Amino acid sequence: MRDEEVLHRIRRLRRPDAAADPELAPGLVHLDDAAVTVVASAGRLLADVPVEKLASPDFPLRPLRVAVTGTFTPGTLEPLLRVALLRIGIAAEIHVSGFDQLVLDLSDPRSALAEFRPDVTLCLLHDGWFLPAEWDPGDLAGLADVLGERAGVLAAALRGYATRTEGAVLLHTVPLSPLEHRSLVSFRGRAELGRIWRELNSQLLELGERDTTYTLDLETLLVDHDGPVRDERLYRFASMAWTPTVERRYAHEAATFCRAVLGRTAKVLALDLDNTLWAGVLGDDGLTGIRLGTDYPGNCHRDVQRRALALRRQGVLLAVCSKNDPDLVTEAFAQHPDLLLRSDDFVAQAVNWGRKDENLRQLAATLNLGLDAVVFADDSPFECELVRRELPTVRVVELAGDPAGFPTRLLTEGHFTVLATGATDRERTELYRARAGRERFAATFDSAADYLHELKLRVTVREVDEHSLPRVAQLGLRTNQFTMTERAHTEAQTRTRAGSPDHLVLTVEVTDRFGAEGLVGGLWLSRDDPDAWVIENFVLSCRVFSRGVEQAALHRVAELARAAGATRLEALFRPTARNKPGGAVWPAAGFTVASVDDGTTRHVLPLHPPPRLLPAWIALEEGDIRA
Amino acid sequence: MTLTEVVAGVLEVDPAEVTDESGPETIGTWTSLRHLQLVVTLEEVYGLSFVFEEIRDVRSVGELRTVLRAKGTETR
Repeated sequence: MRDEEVLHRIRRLRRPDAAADPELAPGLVHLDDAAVTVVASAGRLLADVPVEKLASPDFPLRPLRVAVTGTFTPGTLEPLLRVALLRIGIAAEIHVSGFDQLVLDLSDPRSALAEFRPDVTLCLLHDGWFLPAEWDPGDLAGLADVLGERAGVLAAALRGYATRTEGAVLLHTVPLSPLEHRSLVSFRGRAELGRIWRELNSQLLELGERDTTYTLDLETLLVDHDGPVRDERLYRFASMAWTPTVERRYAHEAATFCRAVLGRTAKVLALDLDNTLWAGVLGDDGLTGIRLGTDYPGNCHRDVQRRALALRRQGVLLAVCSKNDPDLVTEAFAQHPDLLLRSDDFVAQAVNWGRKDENLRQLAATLNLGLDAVVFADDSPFECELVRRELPTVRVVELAGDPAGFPTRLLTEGHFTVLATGATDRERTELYRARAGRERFAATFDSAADYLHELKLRVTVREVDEHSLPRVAQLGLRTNQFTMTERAHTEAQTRTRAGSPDHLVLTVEVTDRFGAEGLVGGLWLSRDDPDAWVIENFVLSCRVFSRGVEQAALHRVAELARAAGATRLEALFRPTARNKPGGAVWPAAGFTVASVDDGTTRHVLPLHPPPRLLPAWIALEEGDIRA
Repeated sequence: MTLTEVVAGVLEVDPAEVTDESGPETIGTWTSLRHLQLVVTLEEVYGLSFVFEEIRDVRSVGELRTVLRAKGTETR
């Protein structure tokens, strides 16, 4: 869609009898490279278009009430913000206050803004509001005091407002006009002014660390902005402190903030490999031919890896989506000295010659996430376009142009932006956050048992199904510590066993007061001898170690075996370099060694009387299992 | 984009409603603020720069066209 076509389609929608246009809202990305005036025109025109004409099941629009108030006149922010929000699936009702209404709006419980009851309040600030018009360059200490007082006025207004609103508030750091800097003649004085100004910005940043107030570090974001922050003519004539392009940059960041408020953050980054994570084509250039060292362009790709790793460390799940030979890829991740990412960093690897849209669809299903939680990054325009067309809700990052720009392209959109990486009630859905919460929670208890009781653990053991099968097989293959063998069952082997009456494949799921951990373990059982059920393998994710989950799962297996008439449970164990934690479960659960044969230890546990393995702090929930 | 389309875009009206005679008196959305936005938009579209004095008192699309022509820009 070209600029003109977008505008044309919006105009058509404004007619009362116009049919809905579900492609328009996602199509607004086509305005990303358009002139700011075109985007502003689109935003103004869109103000009159009813949401029903824009929404579609593929691209649902979420309502949000957004208020804008500031110390200056926001010239074109409203239409720019409207486009920035719609583009990412938010149909906002926007309220804009007039010039310098900020303190009044925040202080007066009956202000128009307060009565609008915003979900998000955007506070726009400019240097002229903080600086006295006639500040004395000979008294910078006095200036620092005045700036402190102004910040105090703002802080007081915000405190009052915070008690009356349930919505989120966004402040930002304020760039200082170079005009003020140059008004001082001495280098020392300019440096001091700079320090005083950064102290003010520090105070603004601090204000964003409590309640529901957040601070956007706009000063940093404007470092790579093209052009001046303000147009002196607009500023003097109409008190507009930002040029339209700065407003556009702000609108993008504010929209990202709104998405984080709504919790619509992406959770998975699916990465291509060739010419994305490294320069070159692994299949053609070989392990030694691909480049990702310290020289250009390898260092650009290495930086992509560094950024992806940083995302992973903050809770973003990484996945591979590559057309490649899986053996070569495994070898590369295991052996290439310059790879920062290793196989363990990925939750799933779709390395095959299939269609990428299909792979992404499966990936989302495997992780039990919606496609809108997936970001797909690839250097191939073909793959990007295919995914955009087939899966409009997947967010596509096209790594085009010079690889030096890839890290920026990956992060600029802010797909993974959240309000805070700490745990609050609303944000606890994500696994990593839940874990962080558990650790802090643990610190408040005297004994581990107290902590485990308060965790309110629930364990469900159920038979594997179509949905969980790839995941449990993956878990088996990926687990190194709590596993009974180095030869875990492949997906195909798991599938055969799942369909065989002589075998049983079980999954273990855990939930606690912080949320669902999801599928954390699996058991592969053979029951062709009705007298003795044999546990061929038992794997458990290290995320749930030391909570008695393994005992609870074995308790359930013992119940099942007894109910089927078995008199004993047997368990096989082959030591590897790293699976000591797995082997320790058998003596702990009361199994004894029956035999050692060719490196495999066979443990046994009689089922009469019924073994009591279930820890007191765990509730075992019924899961479907065929007899 | 034609001048009419630029004006219509900023003022949120149908381009068909805009003629050379259109001005703040005939188009309700042509406020002083929108007038400024129009100036900034014209600068961007035609790649030129105004002194505000040149353009702040312009009262119609036709006059805009004249000012642009004076700066060497022919508009459609």
